Amino acid sequence: MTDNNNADPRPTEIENEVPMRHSESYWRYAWRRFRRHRLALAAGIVLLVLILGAILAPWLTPYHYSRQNRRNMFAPPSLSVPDGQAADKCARPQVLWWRCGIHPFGTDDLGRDILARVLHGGRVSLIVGFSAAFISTLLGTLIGAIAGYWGGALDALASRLIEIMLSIPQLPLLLILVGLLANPEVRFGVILTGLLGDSKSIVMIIVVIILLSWMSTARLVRGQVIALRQRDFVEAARAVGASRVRIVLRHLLPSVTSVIIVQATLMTGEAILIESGLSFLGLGIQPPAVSWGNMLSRAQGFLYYPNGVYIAFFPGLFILLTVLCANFVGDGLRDALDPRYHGRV
Amino acid sequence: MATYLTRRILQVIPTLFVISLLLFGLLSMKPGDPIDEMRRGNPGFTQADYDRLREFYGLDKPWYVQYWRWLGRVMHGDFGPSRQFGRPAAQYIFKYRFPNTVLLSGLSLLVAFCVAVPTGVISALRQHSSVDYVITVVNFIGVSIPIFWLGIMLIYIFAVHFRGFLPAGGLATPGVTGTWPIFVDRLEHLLLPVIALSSLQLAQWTRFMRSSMLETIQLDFVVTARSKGISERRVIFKHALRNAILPLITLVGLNVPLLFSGAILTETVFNWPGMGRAIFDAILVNDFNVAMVSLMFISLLVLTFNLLADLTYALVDPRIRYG
Amino acid sequence: MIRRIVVMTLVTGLFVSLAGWAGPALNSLVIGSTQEPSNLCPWEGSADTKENLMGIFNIGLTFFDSEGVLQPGLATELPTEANGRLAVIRDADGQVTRQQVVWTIRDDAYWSDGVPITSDDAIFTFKVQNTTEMMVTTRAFSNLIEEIIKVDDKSFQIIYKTPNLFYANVGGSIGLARHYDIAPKHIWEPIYDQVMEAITANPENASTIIQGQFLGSSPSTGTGTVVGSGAFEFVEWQINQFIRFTRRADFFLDPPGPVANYLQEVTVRYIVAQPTLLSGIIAGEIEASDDIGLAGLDPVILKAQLGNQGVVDVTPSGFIEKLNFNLFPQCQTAVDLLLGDKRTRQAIIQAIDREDLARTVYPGASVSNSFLVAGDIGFDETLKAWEYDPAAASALLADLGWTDSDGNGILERTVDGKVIEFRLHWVATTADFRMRTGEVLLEMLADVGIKLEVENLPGSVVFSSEYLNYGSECTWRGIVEYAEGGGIGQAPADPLSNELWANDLLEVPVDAVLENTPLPENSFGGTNITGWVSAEFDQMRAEALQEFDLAKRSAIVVLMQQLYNEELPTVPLYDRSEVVTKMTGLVNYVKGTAAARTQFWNAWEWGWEQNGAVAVR
Repeated sequence: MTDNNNADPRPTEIENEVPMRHSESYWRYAWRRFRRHRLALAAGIVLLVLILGAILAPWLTPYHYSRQNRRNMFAPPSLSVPDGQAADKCARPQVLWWRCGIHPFGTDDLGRDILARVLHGGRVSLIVGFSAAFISTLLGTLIGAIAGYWGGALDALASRLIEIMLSIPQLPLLLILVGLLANPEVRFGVILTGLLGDSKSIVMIIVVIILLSWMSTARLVRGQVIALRQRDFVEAARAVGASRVRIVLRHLLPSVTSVIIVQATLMTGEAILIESGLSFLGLGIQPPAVSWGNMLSRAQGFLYYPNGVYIAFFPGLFILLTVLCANFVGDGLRDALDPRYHGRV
Repeated sequence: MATYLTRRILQVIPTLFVISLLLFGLLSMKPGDPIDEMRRGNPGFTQADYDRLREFYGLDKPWYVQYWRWLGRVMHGDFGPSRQFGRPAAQYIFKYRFPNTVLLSGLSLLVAFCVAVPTGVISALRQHSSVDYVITVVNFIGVSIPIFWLGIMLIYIFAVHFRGFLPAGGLATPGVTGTWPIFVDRLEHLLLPVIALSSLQLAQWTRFMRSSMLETIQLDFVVTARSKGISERRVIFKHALRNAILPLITLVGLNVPLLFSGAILTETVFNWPGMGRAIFDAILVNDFNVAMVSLMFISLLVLTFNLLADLTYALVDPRIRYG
Repeated sequence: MIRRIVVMTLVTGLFVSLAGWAGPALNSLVIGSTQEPSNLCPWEGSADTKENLMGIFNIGLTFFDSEGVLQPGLATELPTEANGRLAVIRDADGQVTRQQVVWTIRDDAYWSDGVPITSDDAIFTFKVQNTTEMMVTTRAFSNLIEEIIKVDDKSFQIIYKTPNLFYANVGGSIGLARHYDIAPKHIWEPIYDQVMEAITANPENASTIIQGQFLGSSPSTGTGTVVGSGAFEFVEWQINQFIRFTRRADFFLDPPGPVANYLQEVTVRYIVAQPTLLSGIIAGEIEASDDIGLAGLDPVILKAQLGNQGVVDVTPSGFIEKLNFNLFPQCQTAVDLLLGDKRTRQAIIQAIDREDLARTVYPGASVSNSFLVAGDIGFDETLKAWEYDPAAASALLADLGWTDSDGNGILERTVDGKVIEFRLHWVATTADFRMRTGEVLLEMLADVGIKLEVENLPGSVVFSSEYLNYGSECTWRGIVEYAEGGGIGQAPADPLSNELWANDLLEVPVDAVLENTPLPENSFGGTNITGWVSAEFDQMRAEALQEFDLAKRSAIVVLMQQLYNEELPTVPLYDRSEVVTKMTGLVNYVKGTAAARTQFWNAWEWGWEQNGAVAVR
């Protein structure tokens, strides 16, 4: 929903240091450039670790993420088992150094291990982030490309639609849509529950985020396509008799691919922030499913409880970390893929 | 130019219509209304009571009829009463909630702007230095941090951990009298929310200022000015900065409408009685009139500021011509 | 430049911290609450919060004190048969045909603007209540009154249509208006007349007129003259922020000592979010909380946080948090899951460790086994406790034909070749403690093989009539959880009483339609949302309501509870307690029992010990 066009317009040293080799593919070249961005590279590695952790979550923790231990609520973070701690019910006795009974991040208000929940919450938050970003970018690209290339009435319609969608206050619209779909009264919501069961809220959030964030990609791509439309290779293709569809697909889209990749990466961070914001307000992912956002939704009430702050601290920290890394990577990709890109839409 | 302007202004009206129809339709689809809240508290509430009240509020008509009635009243400037509070919806929003949001968001905007400009300039001038590096990293953190989490952490540190050093929310302490104590009290209540709310914009605008500055410095007229022998300081401040700051001002302008609806997370965390939260609550309990008047207001703001932004560009940049 | 900035910051910081050291305000009280009333109109309002607030500047004909004893307020004395004010006329069969109560208002009762309170005020209040066009919240109480007759300027007689042991309800009001019995005629009559004139001229816009000109009138929105009968008088209302009151010199009830030693000013501050309220309390900004704001908080933790600064009171609220089952055979889920069979409900109550639940989500609450609370007439403490016994629960479920044949942890049974899984839907509002309840119940029931499908919805959805009252259409299936006051449906005695009866046998002739059970035949009206019908229960209820001998009434009510305890149409979880904080030194700020209804019943007695107030409660 925001424009992330803050790239450095001056040629970087990397460009001068890393000249393109003869007969090297564009992607190879871009990868070499990316590797030089140390921060982006580090962020990429951290991101991969997080993703891996999230994927392997069910096997990485001795606890089930929703197993409550009501005798051990609000336990402080510790790397050993405190004396007198009520026995936990564990799925497995040990994973590496993590023994049943150790709560590295402490326990929450119902005695559930916070680290286990953070790992499992990551699965949901990352799925929502990546799919929303990916699909939203695709959708935006499609609409933008069609609008940009076909022009005329189609373009006018698309632009008008974009403008209207951007003029509606987005957060309230989000609230209305989510509230609507979550409602058991609404027919569509009931159908969705039938289809999806427990994962209904996840799909809903993804859909709602897509609906509200495709516009920036669309505008970006449209601008690019309009700019490219007049270029020689396009003229040549038309002269040869290629159909419009073919031109869009074979000639124009590859040129905007780099834009799409960068946009998708940056959008991931945004989507994660939106999901956590919605879940924080109580409209996003519903318990018993766990996401970073919904771990935070009740956390504020426990700030006064001893060790209550950890319930709020850790999920937020992980959101920050993930989004930060996504932004670093996106920035690095932008520099690597299109060194001359510095336009403002 | 004049035709373009007229055309754009005229386009605003149908856009607003479409938006109002869309919002009204969506809101109507949400079941549950304030009357049902009443019902909850009163098992003695009979069906007859319920029917009577529904008819009373006009809720028994289909949504497009309700929309038509609403539109009719709005044309006369009457946005209807708030079902939650009995007062006129427009009065409730604009007299009691709007000023609070303006205070909070306006102050955040000011703070963000005043800090972003010098920081961005410094960052640009000392590009690739360690200062620039630190600022860039801090900026990245600023755009990546969830605002509500930042707010909660701030509350924890300053209100919980350091017992009551700063208030954990609310607008002001009642019963405080005297200009200076009131001023200080308000400031205490504003400090943390402003920090939380301005964080994102500060980060974004710093980066924007930086890139805008970097671009401007490269431009021919700056090089010319330098080669003419004008002092570096004058070059920067008089020539480069003036040009670099313009796009930022446009961006700030485009962001203004977001202030009114987007502060809801901050307002929730800090219990700030602002417009964002009012919209949220109104939507939840189906207080149509309050929701519609605020949403239409924001949409109008967005369209207006978009128009202004485009105009500014047209006026300032002689290369752009609309017609 | 930098130095200047640092100095400025330090100076500002200094001032900021100094401001925090400003001296404590004298003889005033700041109360914190999370729910603000929408308006101050005496005839309208659904939530208790408004009732609380109205108690500061109003008083009823009678009120219950902190020991549960009914006291006269505006009335000179309580009506009893002995002093001739109460007359109950029975027919040959002993059925009550008519009940008359005579009230006399005190001579020294004045409105806060000096006008004497008279019986004309009472009659006017009743008139407004009965005006059809008026959007009065409910007429359930006033409908029991046949008429009010003026005896003289200070006395009036109420004639009841049906027997009514408690001519005064649990909060002390008799139901002439939603909040407190007598509204100021001299303030409201001009508004009322003007509104009725406008409606006659413009009947289609009646709703808008009333909304704008009645509910939106200045006494209602607090922007004009607000006049009350109570200890304090209204000063100002900053919406979404606070409401302020100052003490009246001419109130007829005295504090236990020189008036100057007691509170002169009260401010109620509205803070929507509980954490913010809590931080205000701990910071000392808020000197007392009402009984609603801190729901669900652990009093032990609260006490630890307050330290020596304050005191935490835990009082019973009179509300029982319960699981309501959809028992309508028209709803397929109820049939599939055999919810109509009492063994299912008995299994569920034994599968839940209610003590653990209460301790986890609502510290301070105690387990309940009845639909009444301690203090209600006939409350039986010896009811079967339904201890936590998952083995017994599993046995009952097995008896009903449930087994986990496929080993997935969820019970199934086969009916006509179709496999039905025990998936029980559970709905409650999004209040923090209810969200946690859902998660705890999920785990407890999973241990016996029941899959609880948890859904937390906003209150406006859960309590919407299209939801709660359409159980027979299966809008909600399974369980809906919320809290209700205990009682036997003896309106107007307990306005929030749980009403499990289906047929009101007191009305003659008896309707064939089950009037209190929402069905298509009665347009889904009524409060017995579970659809439980027991002729025996209805019979006992009718008997009890006509029995004015307390001992005999108690005996009947005990039997009703035993029936309830065995059948369990609803599963009671716990009696909600109320957590109230007050700073050290605040005295007489005590609710005491659920009967008092509001924390603010004795505002004239509040004071600070530091300023010489004496604690009498």
